[in-house]
Amino acid sequence: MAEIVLKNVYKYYNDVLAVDNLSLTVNDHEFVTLVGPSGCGKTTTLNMIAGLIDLSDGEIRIGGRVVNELDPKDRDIAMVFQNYALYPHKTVRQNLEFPLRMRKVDKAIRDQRINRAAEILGITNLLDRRPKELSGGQQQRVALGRAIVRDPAAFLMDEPLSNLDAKLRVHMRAELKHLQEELKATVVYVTHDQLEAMTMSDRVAIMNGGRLQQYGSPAEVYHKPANAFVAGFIGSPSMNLIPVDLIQENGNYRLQNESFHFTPQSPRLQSVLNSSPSKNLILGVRHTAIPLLPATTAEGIPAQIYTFEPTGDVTFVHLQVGEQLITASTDDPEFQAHTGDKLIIRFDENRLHLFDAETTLALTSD
Amino acid sequence: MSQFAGVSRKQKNLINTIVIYFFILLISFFAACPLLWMLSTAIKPRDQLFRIPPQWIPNHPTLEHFERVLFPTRPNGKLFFRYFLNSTIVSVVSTILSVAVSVPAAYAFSRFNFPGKDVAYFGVLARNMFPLIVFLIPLFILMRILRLQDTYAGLIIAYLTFTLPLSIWLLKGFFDGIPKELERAARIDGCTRFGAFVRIILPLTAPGLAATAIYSFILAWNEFAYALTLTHSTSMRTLPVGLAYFFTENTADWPGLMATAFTISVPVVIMFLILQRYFVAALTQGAIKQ
Amino acid sequence: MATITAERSAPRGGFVKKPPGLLQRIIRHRADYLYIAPAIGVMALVILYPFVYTIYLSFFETPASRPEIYFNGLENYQELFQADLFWLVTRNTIYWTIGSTILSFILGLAAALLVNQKVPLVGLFRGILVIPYVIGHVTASYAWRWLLHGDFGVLSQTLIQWGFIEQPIPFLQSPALVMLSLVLVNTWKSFPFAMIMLLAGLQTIPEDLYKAARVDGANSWQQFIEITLPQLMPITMVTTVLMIIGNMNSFTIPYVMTGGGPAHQSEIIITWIYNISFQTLRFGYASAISVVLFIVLFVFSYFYVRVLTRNEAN
Repeated sequence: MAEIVLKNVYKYYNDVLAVDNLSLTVNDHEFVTLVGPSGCGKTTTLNMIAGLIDLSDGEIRIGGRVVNELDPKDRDIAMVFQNYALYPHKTVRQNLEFPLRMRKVDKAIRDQRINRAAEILGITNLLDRRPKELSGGQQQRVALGRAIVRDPAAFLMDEPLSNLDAKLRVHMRAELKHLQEELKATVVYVTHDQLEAMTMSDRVAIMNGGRLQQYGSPAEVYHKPANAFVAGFIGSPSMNLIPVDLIQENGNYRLQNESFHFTPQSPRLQSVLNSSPSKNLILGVRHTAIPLLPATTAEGIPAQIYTFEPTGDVTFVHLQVGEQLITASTDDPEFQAHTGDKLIIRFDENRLHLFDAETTLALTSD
Repeated sequence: MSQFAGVSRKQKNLINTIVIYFFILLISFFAACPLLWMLSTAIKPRDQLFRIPPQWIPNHPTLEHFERVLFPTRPNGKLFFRYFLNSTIVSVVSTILSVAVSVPAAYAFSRFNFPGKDVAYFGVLARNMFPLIVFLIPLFILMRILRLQDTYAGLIIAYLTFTLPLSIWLLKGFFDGIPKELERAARIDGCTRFGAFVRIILPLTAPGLAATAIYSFILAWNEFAYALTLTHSTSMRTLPVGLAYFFTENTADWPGLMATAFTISVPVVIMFLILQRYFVAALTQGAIKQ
Repeated sequence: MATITAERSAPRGGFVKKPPGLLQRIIRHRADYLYIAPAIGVMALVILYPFVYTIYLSFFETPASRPEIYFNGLENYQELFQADLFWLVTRNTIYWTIGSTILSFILGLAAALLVNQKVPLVGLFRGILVIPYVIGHVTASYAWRWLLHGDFGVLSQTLIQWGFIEQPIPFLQSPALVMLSLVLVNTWKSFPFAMIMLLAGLQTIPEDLYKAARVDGANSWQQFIEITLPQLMPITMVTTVLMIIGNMNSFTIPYVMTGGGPAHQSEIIITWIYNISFQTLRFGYASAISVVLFIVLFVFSYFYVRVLTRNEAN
């Protein structure tokens, strides 16, 4: 296994910048996910690491050596594709054998590796079948097997679970993670599904418009988003992002827009607002940080239920606050929700985020 | 390490492109050279014709051959015009007829499920297996009996032998590509089955119809064997037949022959180059489905 | 509301309807037949009738001198298999068919692979390469006849110019070279068809397979053998069947270029049948040969389709 280093990587398609000055390091044995909406550059980046497309500028190192000029086959990487890309006219065994044949590995060693991979993945009984006789999950395992037999320096995976149905996807997520830990593999994983990214990775690299937005552990990107995009992208339902103006009144800082106003009590927040260069901010608060209180409560923001979604344990409540729609949730089984009900809401100040409306960067206290 | 360590990937890509280009040019020359040589001969003055070594681009190009064989005032020109007229009439009418008759049949094969459908469709496809010769002799006799030998009608009907099965096969392929939900939606909205066919589906197959018509037209325009056999008077000859007779009657007049041949090809080649897309779609549509 | 449907679908008194019989189905679908009626009618006239008539005629003798025809049973067929020319013509036809098909296919495959690459102006070249296919057979035949002319043909003259040979080559007059020359012309005419079909086939191969192969370590040649060729199998079968049948039915190129000469050295089966029909007017005999040809084609197609469908099932 090896580490992968991207340094100032750019990729142009004619005049369009698909990847913009991307630098990051994947440590040995680490599971890193590149995540973001379609067109953010994550698949392009993966293809550049694999060597399937050229870089416009920058450097990529695998295991310490610069691989920019090397063909995919010389980079010691294995790849798993969204559509599995199994050779349709070959049996499973022949599919697993192919990369080893190309490298002129001895028959004895070939068989040994194939059997080992088949055992790990539980596909030993499928070795003589053809891909079209297999289910989606089985095909995915064969694709993984083809990568495992190579014993490569790193695994590159391009949305491998996207073609599976929901239940299977959840199951395979756990399997993949377990496999990675067992093999102590270095994995670079690409997906548009933030939940996959959060549940499987050691670190998450969030991309948008070709640029790296934030690179950190799942906990970090969830609790300490670096900008409004990350805040809104990670977590489902999304974090509420509300544009507000910063007003100073009687020495206190207050946030308000045409729907409501809110004066933070905690000294920490007041200090953050004090050092904010801009008067236009974005208030970020997750649905879990909005306590729902009866309409008779003295202090708080008035709200009305627009609609609600009971999911069993948790009920998502969509609230109308003036012109604003805010999503909150409750896990209180006694909570009675009806459309049109009036409530009072508050924001948990320990879990509040503030972003500069222009730069979209998170505000921190100096 | 790769053995190409010394050559960058960008350089490899460039070399690749150059090699590919070289072979493409080579094959293109092979494809085009008869036409080019034909043109070259047609504009060469007589004395330059048998020069050794041969010249591709003549020093003093001339249009005298074109004038001699094609101008309406010259005897050859009159004949040529007549042949052109015959070819046009026969090709256009047989194309229109075959498309008109094929469209409902192809639609039926695509959408309906009636007893005997598979047998009938197999019959349509099977026509391909029969050597054209098998039809030629009886058609020759049939036309004589019907007093249709040496007429437009006879030739047009005979051409249906190959244009009809082809049109049905191609059009069925195009119809198969249109989702059945469209007709269902139309019928719920109040159309009859026939109405849905005419008002909704037909307009959508316009490209397919165009492609089929073009393909049939080209086949009819270039057809030789039937035209040769089923006509005998000079005034009924089509262009390919006219070309052949020109040669037998003027064996040494290669430039004249080339000029005529070149002129005959030009409309088809131009029409084809413009409509390439549809033409290729027509050819592959039916085959890929199989 | 919800209970009504349950009652309606229960059968009454245990009576189960029989599936409709053939006659009933025909009547039910009677409107459908209107759609195919004109087409079937025309095809019966110009295809079915001539075919049946040819078979009928093959058992008769049709001398040129007299208008009557005489039934002579299988004599025509006997004569065919004992004819001097039979083996020569058969050999020529096989040579023509197999040779043209193989060469066109290989050239078409090469062209398809080249034209499938993303190089500038590739669309233009794709158009140029199809030109041989759309030019009429007669035009092509005369163009090549002039190109291959025994004295002044530009091919011979160019070879002389470059010092490869000393005398011009009589391509179409030499018994040894004439079939080869005709096959060359037919290849030129037919390779675009193979190219178009194979190109369409190439474009259905998923890109991901090649990516996986590159990562797995296959070079271009290995990718071609392990991925491209196997994936092209179905379209290859279809294309070769169509080409073989088409080539066996060829008429114009041999007829116009050599008329079957010199001395029948380039006579293939269709031109032979044609010459017998319209030079000797022995329609019966010619019909017998046509029927034999048909049987051969039919058997060939049948076995080919069987192999094709068995492959698909695998």
